[in-house]
Amino acid sequence: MLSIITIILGLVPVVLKGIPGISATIQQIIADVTASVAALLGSGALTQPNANTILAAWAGVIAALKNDPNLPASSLSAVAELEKIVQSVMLQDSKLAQSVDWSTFHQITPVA
Amino acid sequence: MKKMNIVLLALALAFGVGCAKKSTAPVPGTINTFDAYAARTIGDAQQALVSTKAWEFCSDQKFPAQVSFDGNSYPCDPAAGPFPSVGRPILYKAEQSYNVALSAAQAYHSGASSDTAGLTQALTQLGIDIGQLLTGIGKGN
Repeated sequence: MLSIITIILGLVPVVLKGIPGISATIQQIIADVTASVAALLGSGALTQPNANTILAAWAGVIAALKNDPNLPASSLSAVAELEKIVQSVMLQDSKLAQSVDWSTFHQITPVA
Repeated sequence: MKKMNIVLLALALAFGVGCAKKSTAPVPGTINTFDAYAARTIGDAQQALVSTKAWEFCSDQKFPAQVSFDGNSYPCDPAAGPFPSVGRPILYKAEQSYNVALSAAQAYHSGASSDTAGLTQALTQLGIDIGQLLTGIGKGN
């Protein structure tokens, strides 16, 4: 069961679609991947290998976006950073699926 | 649209909690499957929050080699660019939700509390806030 991972993977296309100036070709790719991912997420059969495959698909889309000189650099750097965060969460999730060490969890000081 | 996203997130999390309760596979370090679900949600959220907070601190300090907070150090990547200002209030809210959920999860794990409904609500709120945080910072600005 990958609840937060499921949510995160479902949010990636929302972010990508929000980038202004995406070409029609990339928009179609995003739509196709979204449809495939939605079917998988909706089936309730998301596993770690499937999650990695989904992330790899989005990484490919992001790589294509990075090569488009017409897209705003600020949008792409934010998406690239989001990709890194998602990858780190997935790595953490795979570890927690094997075993849990509660001593590694700590409070986070909110900074307004 | 925003409300619909929140509803979808809540449904996904509620569905997730239900699945976790029905699962029978034990995870070392947990007392039952609900405890394992809580730990996994907390751990995933902590990773997302710490990574995001490191980006915020690095950006605020003009990307030094590393930044430190909450007793740990994290490397900075100047290629990340400025932390989106829209992310600051939602990061703050998600951090608060995380701390509430962590306290509830730790109490359940230790046996000090058996309030599964309260913990479920805290984990659901945490998932919603993490989703909104990542969507917000991913869109930038």
